[in-house]
Amino acid sequence: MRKILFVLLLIPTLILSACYSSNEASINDLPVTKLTGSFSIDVNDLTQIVGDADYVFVAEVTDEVETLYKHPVTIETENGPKEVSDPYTKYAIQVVDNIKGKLKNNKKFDILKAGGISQDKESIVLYENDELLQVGKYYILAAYAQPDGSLLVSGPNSSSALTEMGKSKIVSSKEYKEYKEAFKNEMKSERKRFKSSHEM
Amino acid sequence: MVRLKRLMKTTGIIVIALLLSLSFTTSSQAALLGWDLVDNNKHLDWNSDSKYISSINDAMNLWESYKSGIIRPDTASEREDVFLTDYNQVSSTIASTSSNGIIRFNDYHYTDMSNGERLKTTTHEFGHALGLAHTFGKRDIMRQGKVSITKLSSTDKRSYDDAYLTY
Repeated sequence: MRKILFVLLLIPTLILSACYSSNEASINDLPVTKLTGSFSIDVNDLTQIVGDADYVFVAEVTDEVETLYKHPVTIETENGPKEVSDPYTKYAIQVVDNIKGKLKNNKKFDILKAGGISQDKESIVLYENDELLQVGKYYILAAYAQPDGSLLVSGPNSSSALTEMGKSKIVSSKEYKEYKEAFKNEMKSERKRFKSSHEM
Repeated sequence: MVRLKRLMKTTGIIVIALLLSLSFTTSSQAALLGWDLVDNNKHLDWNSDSKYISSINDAMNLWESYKSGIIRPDTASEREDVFLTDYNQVSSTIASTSSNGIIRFNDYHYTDMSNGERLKTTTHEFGHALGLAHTFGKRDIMRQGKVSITKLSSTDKRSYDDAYLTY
């Protein structure tokens, strides 16, 4: 009886894990739709990235919530008209340390990152020199407050993955010190700014 | 007197050499993206619902003044290769070009930009659609930044020449 129960439990477990791993593999195997563009700052200069952003902070990505599709347009393709939107991946994060600005660090909240799986699920849309965030990892994020109070991370070099885990190790890491130094010397842009609804 | 003439000649040669080396160092390297939106007939046909149509036409004319017959509005018989549109988002992105054939102009920046800044940015995005990557010369259309540039630089032209060979 126990053997039968064991087999009955094992089969769905194996099927589910196979489905999950094949889905993961298929996402990683998708081609990348590349985004390139014009930026108001030099995206290779950390003092400009920090100066232009409203908030720069260390955060742990706790969950990938969903992908939102914005700014739909209808384009002509060889197979007829097709609606294309920009993907934005929503992540749940917990702030570990604020470098610029003061975001709440005692509760999780969502942010949006430009890029993600395309609406037709056929490619990953990403800016040059950019990557999607991974759940469980720590990042230094440069975010822009939107008029509705939400936070957007967008563009090349807007997120920097950290290898260290835990606040004490992170604040003594080379990457963290570089961002702190960049904040001291930030080149602040003159532009209309908004306030995040996640401020302390 | 002869010595003075020799000294002046030597100084002149040194100055010319210095100016020549300076001109080489200030001109940036041509660069390609590795992808473009030009179709098999070597055309970049575009369609748009953007409100910045005047900048789009000026940008098309700027590239066309160097190589004609490539960039043109689409027709009933010629399907668009790229669609130009507007959006609004608070970020450092002034405009973007995606390899799936869409150029987007960000109203957050575009609304308050001068005509020269709009022309530079719109020409820059057409440059990406033609396969050109970013370059670093101060007068390059394909440089980064919200600046006013109304002419193609020699680097922009060299990049376009290199890209054309790949169409």
